[in-house]
Amino acid sequence: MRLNAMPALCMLFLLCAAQEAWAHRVNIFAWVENNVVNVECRFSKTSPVRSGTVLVYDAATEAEVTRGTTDEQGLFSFPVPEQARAAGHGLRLIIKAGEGHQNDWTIEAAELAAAQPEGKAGAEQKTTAQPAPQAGASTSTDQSAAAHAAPAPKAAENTQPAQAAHARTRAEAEAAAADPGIKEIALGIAALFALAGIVSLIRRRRV
Amino acid sequence: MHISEGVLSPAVLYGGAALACVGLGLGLRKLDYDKLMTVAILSAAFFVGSLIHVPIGPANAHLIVNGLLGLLLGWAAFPSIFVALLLQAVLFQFGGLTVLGVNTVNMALPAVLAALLCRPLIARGGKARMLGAFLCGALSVAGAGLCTALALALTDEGFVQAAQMLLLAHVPVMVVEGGITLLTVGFLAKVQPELLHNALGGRECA
Repeated sequence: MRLNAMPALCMLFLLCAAQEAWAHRVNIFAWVENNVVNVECRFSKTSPVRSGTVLVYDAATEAEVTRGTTDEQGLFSFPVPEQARAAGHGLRLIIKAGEGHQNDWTIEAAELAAAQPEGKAGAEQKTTAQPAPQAGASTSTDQSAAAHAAPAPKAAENTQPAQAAHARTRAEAEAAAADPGIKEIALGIAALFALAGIVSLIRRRRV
Repeated sequence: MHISEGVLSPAVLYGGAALACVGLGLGLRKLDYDKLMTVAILSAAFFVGSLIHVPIGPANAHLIVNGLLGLLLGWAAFPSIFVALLLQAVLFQFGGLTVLGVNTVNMALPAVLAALLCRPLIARGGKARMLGAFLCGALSVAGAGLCTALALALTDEGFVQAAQMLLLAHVPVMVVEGGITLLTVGFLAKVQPELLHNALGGRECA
């Protein structure tokens, strides 16, 4: 068994170049603010998902609520669906970033219930949200109208816990979206060599 | 090029897993167990290679290095790529465990086929060797794109559209990987011709 120079050099080069690494998975994070659901989709911290399709489903019934496309910053927003909130259901959001890249995020019913409607500002969409095919063309309008009609701030006492929960889930999402570190890379390489070593040892004992 | 969890239909997942098992069986049978460390090194190169980002305008793609594995390992590229993908799924959350079979076939099968196609050219030596090595690297990436597009098309996306998108997005990667394979083969021919000789199945490399 002999180490060959070229593959070893190749691996060393790749390992060094991996400092410029990025995660080749798509990440999605969503939070509710001012009666608007904000969705952020990224491949890594510095690489937003542009023109990715975001599908929004009722988490309990799996019915499609709305869908839309992320902008240049990987963002997409839509008003909190009144139907889901009234029914006490959460939302399941799926990002489809093409080439088989997909991930999902769930907004719990409690987070929707704690959202604070603040009139017009909350109901405007940042990007082009389209109604779900089966929901009809009036879905977005209905949601906007519902948000417009929503009561003014009445539960300011809920703001701080909601913000704390948002910060916590955001921190969790950012941790999940972090690029692989040197620890994971080293662990993977060590596992490969350990596996090769174990197989070699087993083979040698058999002979 | 890694297909995520939840994208493919169960039929495609089972089909991919079955094909991967066949490939793994062939690979383990043809694996030269005296060169396991070489396999581990190349598997590590594949494992790390997907972390290297190739900027393509506003989009991104990553290296695959499957052509090099196909050329130097032949069918043994299957177990080599399978283990690397398994570790990527567990440690980096790239792809996933249920799509492991499909992802293995998508990346390993084109690499083996491209190597079988290009080996006679590489064995001729000289400029033909350079051309063969470049083609092996580039065709492996193109084949991986086509296989990925086919897996997506068999689920719900249109094949032509998915294939066009994947191939266009990976043209720079094809060029880069063709270049890496060319340089590696050129270097091996000078410093370790026996490794290349073995990889070419005993054919002379002038």
